[in-house]
Amino acid sequence: MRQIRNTLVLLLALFSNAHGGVDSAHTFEDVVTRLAEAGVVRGNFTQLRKIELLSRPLESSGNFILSELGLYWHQAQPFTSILIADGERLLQRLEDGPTTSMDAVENPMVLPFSRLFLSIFEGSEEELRANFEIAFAAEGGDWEISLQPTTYPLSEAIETIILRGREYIQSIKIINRSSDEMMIRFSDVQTLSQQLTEHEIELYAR
Amino acid sequence: MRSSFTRASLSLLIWVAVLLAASVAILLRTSNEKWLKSNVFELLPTADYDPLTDIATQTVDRELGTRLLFFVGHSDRDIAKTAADALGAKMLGHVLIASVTTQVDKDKYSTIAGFYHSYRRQILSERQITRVTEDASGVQRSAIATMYSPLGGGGIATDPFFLFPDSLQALQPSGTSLRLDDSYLWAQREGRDYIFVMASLTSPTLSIVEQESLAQYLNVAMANAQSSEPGLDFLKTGFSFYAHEATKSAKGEVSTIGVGSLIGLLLLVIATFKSFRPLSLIVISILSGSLVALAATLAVFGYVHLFTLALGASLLGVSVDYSFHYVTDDAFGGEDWTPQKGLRNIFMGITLGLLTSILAYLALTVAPFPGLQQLAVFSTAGLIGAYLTLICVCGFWRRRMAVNTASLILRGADRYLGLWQRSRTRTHYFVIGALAVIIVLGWQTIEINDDVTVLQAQSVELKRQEAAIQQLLGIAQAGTFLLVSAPSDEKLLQLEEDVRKKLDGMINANSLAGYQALSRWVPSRAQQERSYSAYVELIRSRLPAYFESLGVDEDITSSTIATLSDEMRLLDVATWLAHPASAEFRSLRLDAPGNESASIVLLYGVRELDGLAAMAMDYPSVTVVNKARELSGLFGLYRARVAQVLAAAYLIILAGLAMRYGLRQAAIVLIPPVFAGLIALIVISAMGETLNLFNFLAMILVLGIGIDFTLFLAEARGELKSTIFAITLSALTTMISFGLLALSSTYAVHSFGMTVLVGIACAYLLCPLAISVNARVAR
Repeated sequence: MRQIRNTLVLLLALFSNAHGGVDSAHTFEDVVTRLAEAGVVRGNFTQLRKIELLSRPLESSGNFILSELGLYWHQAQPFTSILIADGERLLQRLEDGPTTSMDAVENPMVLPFSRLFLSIFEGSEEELRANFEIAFAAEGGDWEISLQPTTYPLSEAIETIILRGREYIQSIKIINRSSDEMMIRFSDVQTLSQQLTEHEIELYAR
Repeated sequence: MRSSFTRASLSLLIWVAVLLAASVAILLRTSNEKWLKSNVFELLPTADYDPLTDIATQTVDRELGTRLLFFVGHSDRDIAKTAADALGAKMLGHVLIASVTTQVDKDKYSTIAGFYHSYRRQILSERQITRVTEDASGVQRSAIATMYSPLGGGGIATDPFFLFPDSLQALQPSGTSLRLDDSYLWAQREGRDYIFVMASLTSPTLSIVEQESLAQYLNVAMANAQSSEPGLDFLKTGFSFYAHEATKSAKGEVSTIGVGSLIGLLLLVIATFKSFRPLSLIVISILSGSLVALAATLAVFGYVHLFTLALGASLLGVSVDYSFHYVTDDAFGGEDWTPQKGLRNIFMGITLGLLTSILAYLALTVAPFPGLQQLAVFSTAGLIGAYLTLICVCGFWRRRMAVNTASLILRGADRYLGLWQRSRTRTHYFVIGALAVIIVLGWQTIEINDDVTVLQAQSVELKRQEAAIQQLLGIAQAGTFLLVSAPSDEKLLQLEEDVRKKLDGMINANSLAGYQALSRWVPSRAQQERSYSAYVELIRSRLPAYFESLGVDEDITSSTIATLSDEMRLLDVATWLAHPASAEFRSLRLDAPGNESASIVLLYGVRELDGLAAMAMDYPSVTVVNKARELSGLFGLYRARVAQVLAAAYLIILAGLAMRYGLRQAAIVLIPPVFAGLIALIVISAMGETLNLFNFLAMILVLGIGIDFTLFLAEARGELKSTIFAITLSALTTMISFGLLALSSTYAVHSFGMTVLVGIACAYLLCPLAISVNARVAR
């Protein structure tokens, strides 16, 4: 469950950097090589979650920021909810609701992963290879990376992660061992600015 | 002549037989490799615990004593990981290592989670219960948010409000600052990453050979790793490492003291005698004494402790005195001197000396410290051996001994004696009076510290590594714990829960880092029922609306409600104990004698022991157990007891001497050693050292040895000059050997040596007081 959170951070990290290139990527290395180059990534997302118990999938949408401060995930629909994750802590806040947080020290089982994944930001192909079984396919300008977790405890919860992209990552699909699925699609992704605005820094701080 | 020859042969025969028997006894005992021990704890008394506390301390000692902690550090975490794995694999190859953990057991977490999942309604944390009862709508909103969040929402059918992960987390707050990286636990320090490795030994007490073997094995493994990867560093801590260091330094000290004493003795003899003949008698007497001492100790205890050898080596130095008296009597004897005459001259003096020394050593056993008892046996047997050796073999040194009359020692001693001989009795009384005033005034200034942790010497390097490890771990583990008992399991768990509220308060107040308790893993029935009703109430009141908003079918909703609100199945101690989930924590529950139920609450990072003790006072069946604290208390108790025994011994000796010399003269014989002991304590205090049990124990020896000086002078039948010369030699040898003890890094040994050193110096300086007694004893 929680591992998925961290996986997402990783994937967003991957995504943010990979899409920064203009040339189409032909190899996994091409995708990864670009990781170090991008700065602040901003964009919108739509998330669709299929759970066995529910008669209809849960759909949500909003916008996000990915920077050196971590991931800022702002869900606007169907209700406001904010999630902030970096290598050290995880915060979840509902509109005028309580903030729940956990940090790496209190919860050694969970958070180090997001730290690992965020480090992929820096373009460590080695780190990726150490934690996943990787398959890469490209056709025309489109590519697909499929990741199978090989390390505990990620491998306990996740079956496969599939990333699809063209100039950048367009979607992430996570298939759980429990056969639940989650699909996140990205749109309007901006990578032009290298710096967070003052307002954005405040968003992280709250 | 013929009859005396036969008697001499007979005594020689007896002596040879005794030595042979002793050698055989030693050979038999030392074939067992555990004949030599070094564990400091075996010297210490076992506190007077009740059976339950005894079981508890043994459990905790075993836990702490078998544990070895390591951190493997490198600036590159992957290299550190590889090195940690290699170290772990290497350690498993050693026969004394029972288990090694380099990576978190992947199954452990799921085993525990699996076990508690079926009891999830009963293990809500206190905070969760409050939230669920007071803010049910908030709980519902959080659950909905979690369902939509990209980072959560699994297990909705069995745990619709996602309470279980937090409940599980609350069962075992890690307390440490370790993080997880692919099942490796790690922490960062000074920009380097350290991987945590834990190992446990097969036994908490290792023999000297085992300690050495393990230490060398690990050192080689670490050194090899470092030579192939220079950036690596290793931190290690564990009781057994400290024990090994202590053994190493004790061994070093034993040889320093032994060799030092021997060299001192040699120089003394060379400086004072014209030949080596006296030396041969002295050496034979010491060696025979040591042989008998070792044999007797092994026969009584089955083993000998390094501490005994260190102190015993010094105590045996006392046995040299007998030979000195004989040799000097010979050297100063007239033309008609014969061994028989010489022996007769000194017989009374050395026999009384032997008896008082034995009394003094036996007095050491008033404190039921195994270490001291062994010391007493060792020294007593050694003295008797040396005494018998002298009496049995001295007749065979037929050529006369000669003293180097130009020797500084001889001239000095002679002049010093003359000083006293010329002075008037009034002057003697003045000296006694003045010293008495100094003692009374000085006594007010002495400071006492019974803290046992100060008495042990600990390797600075190991302390540094331990501090670094504690910093990396974020917790300090000490031997402090609570012992809780109650008439039944349920009462026990309720009591623990009550105490834990106080402990939580102390954690918030920063006077405690954390704890590990049974009731965390198995809440009391009362607590489980509170949690259960709060949970079921939440399900009944909130689940329908919550599931409807997610679009769950109604019949699924109602079946979920039915399943989640069925009857509670109690989680009891027996069930928990029987399940693998309790594997690491079973020792929290004690096998209490009788029908009682008992547990220990392990405490981490205790900063205020007094506050803890005060808290426990509120509960009659909760006790704070801290071995160091108990031992310190015990040391204080025995220090007081030794002082009483000393006082009693003074009086008994006074009474005995009074029968021979009359009360006034007896007092004069006794005053030098008594004053010497007291002055020694005051001088040591004035040097800025605090006093402890060992200073007082040493006073027994100052009395035992110091009284020999005055007795020899009072009883001297030949030349007084030869007696003072012999006393000078024995005072010097005693001061050499105990002076070396004072250099010991172990504060207890240092205190002991220091007191004897200063005390004997004083006893020597004051002993000529007894010459006035000699004048009165019929010549």
